[in-house]
Amino acid sequence: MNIIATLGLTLMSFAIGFLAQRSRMCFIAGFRDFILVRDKELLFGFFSFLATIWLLTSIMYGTGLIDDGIPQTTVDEITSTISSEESNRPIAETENAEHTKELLSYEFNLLFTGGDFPITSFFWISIIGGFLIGLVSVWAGGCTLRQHVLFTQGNGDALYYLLGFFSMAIIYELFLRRIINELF
Amino acid sequence: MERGRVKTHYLKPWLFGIIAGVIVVIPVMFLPVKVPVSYSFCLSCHTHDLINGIINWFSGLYLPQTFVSRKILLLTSPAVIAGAFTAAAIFGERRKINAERPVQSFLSGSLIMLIGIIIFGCPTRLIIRAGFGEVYGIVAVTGMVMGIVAASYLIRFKWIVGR
Repeated sequence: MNIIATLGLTLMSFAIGFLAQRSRMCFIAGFRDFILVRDKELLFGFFSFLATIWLLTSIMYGTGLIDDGIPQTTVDEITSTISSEESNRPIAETENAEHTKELLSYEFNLLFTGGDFPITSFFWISIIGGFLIGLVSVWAGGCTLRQHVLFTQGNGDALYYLLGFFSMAIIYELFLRRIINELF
Repeated sequence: MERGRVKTHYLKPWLFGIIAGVIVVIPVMFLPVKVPVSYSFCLSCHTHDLINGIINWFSGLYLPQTFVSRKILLLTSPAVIAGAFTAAAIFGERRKINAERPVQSFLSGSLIMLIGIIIFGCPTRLIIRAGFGEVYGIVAVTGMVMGIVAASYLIRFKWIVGR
C-alpha cells in the first residue's frame, strides 16, 4: 500500500469536492441549462475543464513529462507485473483482460501523429452507454459529482441517488457481471 | 432564485474547470502504476474498486480490481463528500430538503453506476478520458452530449420530469 499516493489522491479529491461545492459545478447541467434557459455559465465550466486537460496532456506528451509518452499499455505488461510482484494472488484481471486489451490497444496520440479509429463492439457500447448516461443524469437532475455535493448539503433525493449508486456496485459484482460478460 | 442574490461569492464555473483540470492531470505523473490510463479521478470506477477491495479484504474472494487499486486505496468518493461537506459547513449552506422522488433517484443512481462500470467512467471521467485523447472517451462524451440534448428536449416537451 502506497501511503503517500493514497494521501495525495485523497487530498486531490477533497479539493475537487470543496471547489465543486463552491462553484455549483455540474457537467451535465451545462448543456441542459443552455437548451432550457440559455444559461451559458456551466457550459463554460464543461469546456474549460476539457480544454485544460487537453492542453496540459498535449504539453506533457510533447515534453515527456508523462514518461510513458502516449498511454499505451499492453495486457502482457499487466500480467507480467502481476505475476512478478504479487505471485501469491491469482490473476483476477483475466476476466477483464480482453475488455481492457480492446480498450488499451487503441489509444491514439493527442498530437495526431499516429493511431487509428477502430469501429469495434466497444465503440457501440461506448456511444450507447454515453447516451444513456446523459439521459439518466438529466432525469436524475445532475451528474455524479453534483449529486455528491447535493448530498452533503442535505438533499434527500441525492441520498437515495447515492444509496442506489453504492448498492449497484455490490449487486453488479454478485449477480450481474457474469450475465454481462456473456452478452459481450 | 437565490442563486442571483449571492452570485458574487461563488467560484465561477470556468475557473473551477481550469483548477480542477490542473488538479486532475498532475497526479498522473506520480501514480506508481499507470495501467488504467487517466485514472486519477473517477467516482464510479474508484467506488467500484474500493468496494471490491473491501469485500476481498474481508471475505478472501478475488473480485477483479484494477491494478492501481491494489497499490493505492482509492478513497475518492468519501473524500469528495468530506470536501463538499467542509465547504457547505463553513459557508453555512446546509439545510435539509426532503426527498421528493426517492424511487427515481435510486433507480437513476444505480443505472449510472451500472453503465459507468461497463464503459469505464462517470461523466467526469468520460471528459477526462476525452481530454487525454482516448478514442473511446471522445466517442462516449459525444454520446453523452447527445443524450443530454435528447433528454433536455424531452423535458421541454414535458415527456419526462426533470429537476
